[in-house]
Amino acid sequence: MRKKSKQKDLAFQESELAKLLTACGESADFLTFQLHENSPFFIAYFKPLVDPNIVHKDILTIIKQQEVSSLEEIKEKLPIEDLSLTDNVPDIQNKLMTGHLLFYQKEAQSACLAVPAPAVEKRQVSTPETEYVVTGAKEAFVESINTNLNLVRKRLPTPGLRTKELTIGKLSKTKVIVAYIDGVANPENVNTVIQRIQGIEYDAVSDSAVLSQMIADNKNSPFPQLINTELPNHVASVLSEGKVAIFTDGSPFVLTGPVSFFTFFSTAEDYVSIWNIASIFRLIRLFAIAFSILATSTYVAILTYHYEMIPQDVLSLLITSRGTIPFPPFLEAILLELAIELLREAGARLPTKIGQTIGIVGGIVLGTAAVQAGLTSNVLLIVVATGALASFTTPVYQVSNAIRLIRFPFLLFAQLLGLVGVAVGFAFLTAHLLKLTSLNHPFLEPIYPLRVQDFKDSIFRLPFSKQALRPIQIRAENPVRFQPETPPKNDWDIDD
Amino acid sequence: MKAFLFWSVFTLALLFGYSIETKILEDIQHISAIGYDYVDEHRMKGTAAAPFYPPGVDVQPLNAFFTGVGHNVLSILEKQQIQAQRKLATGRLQAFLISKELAKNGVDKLTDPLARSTAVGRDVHMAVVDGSAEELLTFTYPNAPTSAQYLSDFMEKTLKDIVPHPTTHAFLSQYDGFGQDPFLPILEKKEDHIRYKGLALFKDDQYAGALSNKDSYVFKLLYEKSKTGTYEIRFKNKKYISIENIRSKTEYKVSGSQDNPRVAIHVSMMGEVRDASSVVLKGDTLKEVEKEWSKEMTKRAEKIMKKFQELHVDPLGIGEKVRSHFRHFDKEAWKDHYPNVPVEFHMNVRIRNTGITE
Amino acid sequence: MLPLPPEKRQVSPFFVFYLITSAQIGMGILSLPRYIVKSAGQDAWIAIIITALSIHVILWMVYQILNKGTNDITVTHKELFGKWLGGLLSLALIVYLLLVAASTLRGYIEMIQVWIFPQLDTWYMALILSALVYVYVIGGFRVVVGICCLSFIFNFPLIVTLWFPLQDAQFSHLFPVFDHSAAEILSASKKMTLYFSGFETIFFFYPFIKNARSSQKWAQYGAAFTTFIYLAVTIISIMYFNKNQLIQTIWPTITLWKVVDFPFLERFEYLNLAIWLFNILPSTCLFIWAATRGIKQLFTVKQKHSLIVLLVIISVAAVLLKDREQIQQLNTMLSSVSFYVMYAYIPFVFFYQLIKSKVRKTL
Repeated sequence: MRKKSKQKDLAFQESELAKLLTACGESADFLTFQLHENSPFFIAYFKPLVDPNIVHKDILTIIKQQEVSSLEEIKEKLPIEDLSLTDNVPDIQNKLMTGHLLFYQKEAQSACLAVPAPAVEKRQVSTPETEYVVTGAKEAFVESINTNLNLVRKRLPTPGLRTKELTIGKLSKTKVIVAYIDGVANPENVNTVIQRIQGIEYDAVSDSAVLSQMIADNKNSPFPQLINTELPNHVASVLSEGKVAIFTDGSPFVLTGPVSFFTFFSTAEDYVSIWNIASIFRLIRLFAIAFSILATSTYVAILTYHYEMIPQDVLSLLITSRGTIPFPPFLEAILLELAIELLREAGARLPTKIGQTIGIVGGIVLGTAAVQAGLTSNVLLIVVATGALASFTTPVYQVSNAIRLIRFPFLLFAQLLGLVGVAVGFAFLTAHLLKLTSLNHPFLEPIYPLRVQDFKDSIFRLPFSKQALRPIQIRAENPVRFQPETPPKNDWDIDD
Repeated sequence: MKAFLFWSVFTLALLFGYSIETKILEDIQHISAIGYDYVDEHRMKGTAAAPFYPPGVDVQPLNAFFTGVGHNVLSILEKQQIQAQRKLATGRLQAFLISKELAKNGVDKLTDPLARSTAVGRDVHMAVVDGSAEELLTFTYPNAPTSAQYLSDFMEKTLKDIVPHPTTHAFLSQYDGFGQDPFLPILEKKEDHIRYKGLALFKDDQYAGALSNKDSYVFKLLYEKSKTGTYEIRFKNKKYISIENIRSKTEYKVSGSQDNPRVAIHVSMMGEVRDASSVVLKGDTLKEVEKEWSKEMTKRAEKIMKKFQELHVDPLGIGEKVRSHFRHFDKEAWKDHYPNVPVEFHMNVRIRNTGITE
Repeated sequence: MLPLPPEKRQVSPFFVFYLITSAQIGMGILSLPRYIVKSAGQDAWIAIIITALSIHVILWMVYQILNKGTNDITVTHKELFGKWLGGLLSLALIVYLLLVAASTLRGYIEMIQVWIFPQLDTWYMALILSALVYVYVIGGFRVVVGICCLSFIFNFPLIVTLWFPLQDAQFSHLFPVFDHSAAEILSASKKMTLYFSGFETIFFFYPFIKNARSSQKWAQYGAAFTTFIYLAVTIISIMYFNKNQLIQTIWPTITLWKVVDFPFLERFEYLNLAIWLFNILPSTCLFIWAATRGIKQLFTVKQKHSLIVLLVIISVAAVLLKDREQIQQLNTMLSSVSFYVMYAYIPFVFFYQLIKSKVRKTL
């Protein structure tokens, strides 16, 4: 009898499953034990990954009370869904690593039963951190992919909302879900996204931002080609436009695409405000970005080369403000820009409260001191500070970073060739933007290719009654959002 | 890799091939006014007012003047440069003064660099100085920190209402072209102020005569549509009435043949009575005032016109109006015609209101 | 002979409007009023209209030639004149386009040297500009069309700022109308041809237009828009300047911008000359693109390789043109060449093709 069991042991130890269990056993948090003495069944699991409540209340109590003789029997008895009997070792490994409890018998070699009992640690759904909205829904995504999907499905209760699940990363096994609305989204876009995600060769994909860089059309561009958002509201509305959303497990941000340059200027707030107000704010944001890129370099160009352009009244103001400054405008501008970057970096890395204080103290104290010491001119201080402020008007954080980066080459060009240099820099930027695509769709749409119809929700936001058609850029399968009412005949009169 | 190499070489080439001289704002001394005086037949004396801004916060600019004698504008500028602490630049020139004596000898050599330079603007204000331009520029006026500032303010804000656009562009265009002769305001330094004295009339590039300051209001009325100016007329019993121009327009009508052209100038003005002590303005009286105004203005305009024709100058641009009326216009013949061309004046005023009292 | 470009490389017909305008408007417009006023005085605008009308007819001929062909002009040349003679003609056309591109680039550099940076080295600016052209042309035809289209927006301030000189304008300068003889006006018209050149690039980009036949409408609109801009600039210049002054001023259009006066910025000629980059860049890109495309058709050289060679050649040519005199010579030469291209070569090909097809039909 004993001999027999020893033989069995030996046979088992050579099996694939045993190797897996031994490998796991090297970790201190891996448990494996016999159900009870003389029982043929063994149990194995990673302690941190399983929910002890389920293990103790739902599984062990039931199994221990009843006599079971085979894995099939256990499967029938357990009041838990999604049990699987398998002898596929890689599959078993996956299950082990995702919070499953493993029943195995030494006789049955590799066959075993995986019982899901995952411990779910998740943050409560809370208010958005980066995309703050004054009015409108205040729910934001969390790190759990199921919660995130739930938040979106709640808003789009249609079976048409399809999801494709993919796993990427040899080590991280990150779960990625591609969501789109069937019959609305262009299947080509969905395929592009799926193909690109499947093509990823990287061991650990930790976040949606990482994913976004890996599937971007142009990986060297400072501009994001997929926009991430933490607002379920926003995701629901872009899905209904025909775009594709990419959920990544462990990331509170969802990627959406295809996007265009003008998506950077639209906020969730725009759809809550009246269309005329929203349109004006969009134009202001567009202007702010242009200002942020060009203001400092234009200042440097004019002060270094084109003094003729300054009107007389402004001239004396500028001369007196620059009188004591030992640096040329270029150096002065670079120093100030760097100082602002420093403040921003410090503010971003420190805890919120200290960060705010550092920002205010640094800004005011340093600024005033620098001007009084005669190191910078107050006019440039205003220009640089306004430029920095303007760069944050876009709701997409990566874009404001990109814009802050672009300012430096512009400054250099301004120093080299004055206003002509600024124009040259702008020409390079335009070339880059013209070549950029988002999921193979042109990035500068609707300006180029010119599609006046798409102006309705890009540069402007026209009233919802005008939004009967989905944007051409996305090439939605079904371009019609709703059938607009035919307007009544125009034969009204005053006081009718 | 190839691309990276190419862009690195490109950037390096840009950085090291850089050969442009910077013109940093505060490293330049900006000439804001410049004046020329007569020395002798070939030489003139230039005075440049280039206020210097001392370093510091809340500072007032210092008056700084540089003078030089030379044959032309650029050689004078060179002589001024060797006295100045920073590089002198003319890009922000506001006022350009010519002394009357120099103007009498011709301003041709002054205008060429103005037209040729890329730095100097086209809206520099020009004027003739009765007396010495140097003295007018270098005097310290009690009502402005620098004389240049006083001068540019004066020419931009005050003179604009009195004289039609005295800018370089207007001067150059009148001087170069056919059918019009240039004119410039005359300034003088009176005690410790600058004062507008009248209008200098040029024949080609030489000073030929002047209009009094009162006549120059009428001249502006005849020259272009305007929205400024006060006209005083003598009403019955030596009462004086002042009418302010609300807006006026002027129209030139050419008729007759090319050998015998006739010109009629129609001026219509909408006015407002501003000062009419001890005259009650009502119905008929108002009509009388209008009639009186038109009579007096016509008389004055005719006087001015007579002067122009006697001097052979055409600051009103009648030649240009006549040229644009006839095809294949004979420009040489016009020069002989001009003094004898009959010019009619039709001056109309409509008094819209009389202020807030009757 | 290459296959027709795939659909995703093609652009919609209405982009031909932007292509034609940006190819036509280049450095010329800055000095245009001066040259034609020299011979036609205040009637210069009539000369512009006469040339424009003839350009519309020639454009129609160009479309007839291309519509009958199957691909671009190199293929049509080959079909009409055989491999050698046709190839030679195509090559001549390519060289002509390259010369126009070189003259445009050098003209812009000269302008910057005269107006802004006297110390600027020609090679320095030529390097920057050819890098820019490279960046655009390497992106393919769609990107070239993109810059043509966008520059349309960027150039808007140039037109708006013409409002300022208009305030000092004198209407009487325009009168009397028809004061010049037909010969004078026609000689001004002849001078105008160079300013309308550039639409010849259509010979090369025709296969890249979707429904190319239907794009003729847009091409004609484009030429009409060019005419409108030329007319506006010329009429404003005539009204603002005195005739003598206008003839003496080398770049009257830039001088017009000198009077722009905003409370925060004055003297827009500096800003506008910088923006002018977006005027010469699209046309140069288009010329160079057309040349590389033509070379690919003739010699099956990869466009990305010939592009680099052409840019080097053009930059060297720009550096070799030392002073105003030589630039002027090149322009005068180009002016007469473009005159013959437009009024001799295009009608010749048109009628030759017509006769040939008639003969074939009767046989």
